[in-house]
Amino acid sequence: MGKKEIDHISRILAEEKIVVFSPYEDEIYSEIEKCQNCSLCLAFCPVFEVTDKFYPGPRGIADELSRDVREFWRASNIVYMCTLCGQCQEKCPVNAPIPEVVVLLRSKIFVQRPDLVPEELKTLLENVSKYGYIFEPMSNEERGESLKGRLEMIGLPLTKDPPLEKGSKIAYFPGCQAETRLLDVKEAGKLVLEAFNVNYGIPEGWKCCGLPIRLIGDSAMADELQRGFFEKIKELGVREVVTTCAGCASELRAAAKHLGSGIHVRHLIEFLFEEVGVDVISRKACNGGNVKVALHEPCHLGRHVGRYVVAYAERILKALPNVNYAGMKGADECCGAGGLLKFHDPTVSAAIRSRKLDVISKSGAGLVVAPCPLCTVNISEGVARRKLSVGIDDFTVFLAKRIYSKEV
Amino acid sequence: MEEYDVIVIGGGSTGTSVARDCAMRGFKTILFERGDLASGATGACAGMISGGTKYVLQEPEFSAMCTMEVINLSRIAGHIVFRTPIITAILTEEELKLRASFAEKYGALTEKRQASPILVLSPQEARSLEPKLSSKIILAAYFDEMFIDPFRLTVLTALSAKRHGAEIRTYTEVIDILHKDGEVYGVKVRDRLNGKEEEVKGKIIVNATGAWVPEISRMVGVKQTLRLNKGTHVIFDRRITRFGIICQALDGRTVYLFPHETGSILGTTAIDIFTSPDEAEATYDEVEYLISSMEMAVPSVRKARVVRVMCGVRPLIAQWWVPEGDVTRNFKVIDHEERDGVKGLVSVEGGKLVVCRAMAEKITDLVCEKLGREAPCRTHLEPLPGADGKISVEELASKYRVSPQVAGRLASRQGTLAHAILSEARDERDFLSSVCLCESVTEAELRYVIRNEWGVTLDALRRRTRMGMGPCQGFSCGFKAMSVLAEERGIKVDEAFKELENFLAERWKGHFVILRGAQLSEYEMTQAAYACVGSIDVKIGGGDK
Amino acid sequence: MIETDVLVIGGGVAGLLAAAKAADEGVEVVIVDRGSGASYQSSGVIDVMGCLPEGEITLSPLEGVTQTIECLPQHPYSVISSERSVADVIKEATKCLLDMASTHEVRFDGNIEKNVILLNTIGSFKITCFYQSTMSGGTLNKLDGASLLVVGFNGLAGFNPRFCASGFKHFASKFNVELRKADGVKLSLPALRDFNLTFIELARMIDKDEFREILAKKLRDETVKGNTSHIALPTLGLRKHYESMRILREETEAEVFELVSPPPSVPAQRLMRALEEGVAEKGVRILRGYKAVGFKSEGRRVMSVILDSGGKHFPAKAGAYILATGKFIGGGLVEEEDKVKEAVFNLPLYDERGKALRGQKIPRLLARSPFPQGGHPLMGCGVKVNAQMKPVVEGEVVYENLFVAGSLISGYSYVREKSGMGVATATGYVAGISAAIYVG
Repeated sequence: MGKKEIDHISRILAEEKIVVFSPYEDEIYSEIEKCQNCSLCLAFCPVFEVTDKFYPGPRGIADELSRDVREFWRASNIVYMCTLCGQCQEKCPVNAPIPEVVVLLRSKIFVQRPDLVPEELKTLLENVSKYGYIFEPMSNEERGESLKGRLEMIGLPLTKDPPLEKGSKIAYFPGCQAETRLLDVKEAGKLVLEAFNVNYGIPEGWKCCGLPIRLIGDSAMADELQRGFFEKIKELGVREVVTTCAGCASELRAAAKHLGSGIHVRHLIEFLFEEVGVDVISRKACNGGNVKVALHEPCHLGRHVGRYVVAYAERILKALPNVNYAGMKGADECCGAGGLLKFHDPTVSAAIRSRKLDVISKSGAGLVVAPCPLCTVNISEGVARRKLSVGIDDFTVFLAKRIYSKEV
Repeated sequence: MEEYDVIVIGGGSTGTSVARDCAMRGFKTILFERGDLASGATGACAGMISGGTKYVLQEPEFSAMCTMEVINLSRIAGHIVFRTPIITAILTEEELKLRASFAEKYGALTEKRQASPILVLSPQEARSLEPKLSSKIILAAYFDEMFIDPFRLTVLTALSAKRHGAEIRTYTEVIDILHKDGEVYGVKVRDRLNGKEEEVKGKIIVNATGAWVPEISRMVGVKQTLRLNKGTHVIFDRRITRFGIICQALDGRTVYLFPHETGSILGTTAIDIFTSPDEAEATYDEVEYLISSMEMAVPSVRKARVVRVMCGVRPLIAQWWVPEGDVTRNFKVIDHEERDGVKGLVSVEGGKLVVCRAMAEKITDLVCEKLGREAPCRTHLEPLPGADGKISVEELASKYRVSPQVAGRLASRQGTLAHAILSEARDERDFLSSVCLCESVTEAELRYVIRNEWGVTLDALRRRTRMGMGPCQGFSCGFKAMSVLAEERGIKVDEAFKELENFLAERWKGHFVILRGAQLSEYEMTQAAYACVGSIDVKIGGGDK
Repeated sequence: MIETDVLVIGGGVAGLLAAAKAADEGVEVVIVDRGSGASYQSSGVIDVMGCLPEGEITLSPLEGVTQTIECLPQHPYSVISSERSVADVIKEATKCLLDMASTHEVRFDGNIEKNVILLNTIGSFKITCFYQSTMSGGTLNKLDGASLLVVGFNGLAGFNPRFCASGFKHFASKFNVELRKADGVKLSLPALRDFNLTFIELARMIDKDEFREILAKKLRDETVKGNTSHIALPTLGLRKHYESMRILREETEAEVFELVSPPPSVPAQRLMRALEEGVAEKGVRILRGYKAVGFKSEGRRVMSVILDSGGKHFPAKAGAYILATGKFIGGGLVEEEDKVKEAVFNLPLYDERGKALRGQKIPRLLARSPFPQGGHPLMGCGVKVNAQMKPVVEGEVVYENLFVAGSLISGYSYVREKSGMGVATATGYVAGISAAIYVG
């Protein structure tokens, strides 16, 4: 086929708005066909519950919008409102993968009608291009001070970043939130891995995991970043990634699979539970005073990776000495930060968070731990605003404190 | 009794085109359709308006007519015409030889209608364009064809006929042809909704009933033979492939899988039938034949969600001792005065969707000749209702504060009439609620087609709006549409529920032959909702409290 | 990873009741649930037997049960009554369910001796014997001579109060009930979305005090205008339905009630939530997002069930297993090569008459009309069980520690009988006891 022929076909495809799907996209697209149009998902969708805007809910996305392949742009007023919490998919009688379709639609709109991508999201994308991270990093000075302050407050030492080398077993992936905002999570991650003598390193020059980029719709860029990352660690002979962020865990795990990279990605919780074991964890993490702890189950862990990971987290918390585990009704409800909703529709995002804060207040816990820095930041903001007396900790930070605390 | 110049029997694409042409040329015209418009073969076809590629070698003149008609239909019904790029997937060496010799001869005609010549693709190239193609294909070819929404085409043609003064009577069955001394002078009809019978006089009767042509002709003692040939299609819930796919069937025929509207359509079979076309129905074997054939080129088609099957009967000209595929698709206009000595009766045999307007032109020319009037045909020039301009979906959506999806789907069916429909809902915002969620059909659109497009049954609403054609097949829209129809037409409650049953029964016709995969759960939901909650299957006996 | 006494697969009414009963017997129970099944798609009432085998309505559910099991000896109601009277089992089982629901804010009225006719939001009716008390004011027997106002809302999709009003009048007369008057009205309330409003959104609005107040005032005006004795609403709220009913009744001095609706029905969501809370209170753990994908057995014992979560497989070990996965909606039955298959254990399947399915393709199990008099054979297909709800093949128990409950059981068609919830409740109850006895 010569250039003339290719041009001809491309022109026809463009005219008829026909978009060719990758096999991976096709797989998602054919999975969503199971939707029965029963509308049950509407009863469980947090966005549908809180928004005043027109939002046809998960059903509309699955049944109505997903079928008009030539006109995906018409979903633009809908798909950016989804938090990707995954409640719809889990409650769906046929488990139709609606969140994945939301991402697919966003990626098609990004190509077909970039003008319809919300401006706030475009700004985030620029950040990735500029800094490699979704947020603008602090200056070195600022960062140093912030880090020092945070670590002092929680009583953890500052350690150097061990580089990922040949012979390292685990690549530790901190994620943008821990690198640029919640700095103590990264430090805590390192300390926990060290505490259990894990042979790990931090890959040099790592960048955003690709999740926010994918959520904005630039799936080509996300693929490229992820492929590059996997290649790089594979060159060092490393086959395993551990991360402390729920979003990074779910995204890198899915990417590893669809790019066929052969890399095994786990959240720290999953890694510790499976490789170290609850007994050893609880023997090490035996410090700190009595505390009543509840677990926030991030959507990206519980529903995107799998419910078993939050079950692991629960098992770990229950085993820790002096930790009084409080089951929290609504632990798996979305905190409102997902899907980048927080950045372009803060009102709806805050309304969903407000529901989460109700859940937390009712739990009676003194401390809520969240195995995700993004959820942690978002919930903390809400707690501060509402002046609740409950503490919020990232799971990794909490664990590090239980290991390193002087208090017995 | 009123007397018409022309009585047209049959409300398919041909009959409505005849009514339109006759009305446009100034004849007092009435059309009778015993069911709904496009409820016969027109509604059961794939909507392809082929430029006649297939006939280029054997029937160059007919092929040229097809090519011309594609241009004409695009001109008069632009908003319901779309282009589909197609890949022919070649699976065997023998097939390759056949196709190659054909491809050489194709091309000259395509330039005129801005279509591409056939482009040869390597298997890799084909698979990069359409990843769902099998890795077993040995070569592929690209070309494209135009398609049309056959339901809308028929309804719009009827609407245009009405605007030019024709009367269109659906659900009105011709039960007898009035004739005396070798001349027809009218018809006796029965309104199938209220059972009323009446006689209508006319000078010329055009029998455009497709597969039913012989049955109508028999009413005046004329024996007419057609080669009736059944074709079955399998409908999928969404676009399985981005390209239309053509491949060899298990028996060496050709089958296709075309994206159509929001779904896909797999066809078709060709089985000669010798019973009444009323009895034709799709069978399990036909479905398996189609899926097993297409599976060779597109393996995932087997797992795709089948929402229903449908079948229609082709009224082929009676050529025998050749396979169905070799029978001409050209048409014959028959002047029964000349052939059988029955004055005033005209019929048409053969033909296909793409030439429906040309068929009508020929027939109307004959009518002119018989009634001694000279009037030029203008049906290829004047746009059909809604096709008189472009429409911006975004503007439509923001002007009437509806979602772009609703605006877009409405515009794709109604063209520029979308404005009228949405502006009627300005004061009744309530009417903007979607009745059919799968196909984004609003109550406003339903009310509009009930009032303006002969939408007298739920089935008729479906053909005009695609209501109930999505994956849920009427589960979530049936009862809602029933109440709208009842309200608009002042139907009593028991009739309304009867209508709902008819609608669900019509949908079921496409299901009991084949019900698999995801559609089984949909089936259970529909059963439970309508029988357990709606009690539509319950006999109320005794009358005890 | 999961170890328990009893593992229930499926979180519908059958599974929840089985879990509740087993927990009552003092054993540890875990439910695994991969998504919402047919119970969520129900109308939130408990029907025991609405129609006789010939398709006629029965006014006495128990009489209907007796007649049905005479015709269909393989009916689950017949199977559970091998040791005790079927009436007793159904009474105990439904009591267990209704008690659990009522402690979690979903109260029921009605009794097993008498079927009632409830009106629905599509303009027809539903037959049942237990109904949520928000619906009580509208049972047809109470509407003789009533002046009924059917209230809809501008913007609410899928509910046409005027059509419903004429429908109710029509169907009531068929049951010899004379409505003095039946009118439909659409209220315009600015707080509501002006189109595409769903029942669930309306229910949430009615839960809100401010909205309820406005609604009450509007309704009062309408009641006075039309001299109304009864008011039918499409929903009375998701969580505060009693409060709403009370306030609206006080304000209007009319019998305010809620109509039955097709899925997704608000009363069904209320019921399922109440039952989930009920079993949780009994110490049952519900694990969501786990799908049973296989099992391990030794001889006639199930050793473990393999659960999938996020593509990872975990064995769940229990002393006894209860399979309550439903039919096609629930995913208990799936299609493979056009044949029906039981999804987890590949148990042999039987039809309504107790005959083994021998590879018939699904189209052979379907009638030509959508709602045939005798129902579709397909809807009567499922697993055959003995009196303990253990699956059997030719009279032999397949696995001694496996029990089956709900619509996965063969021998009846809930669609035709209007018996879905009743059978789910009764078989769930028996399966729960049997499993508890087995492990205890």
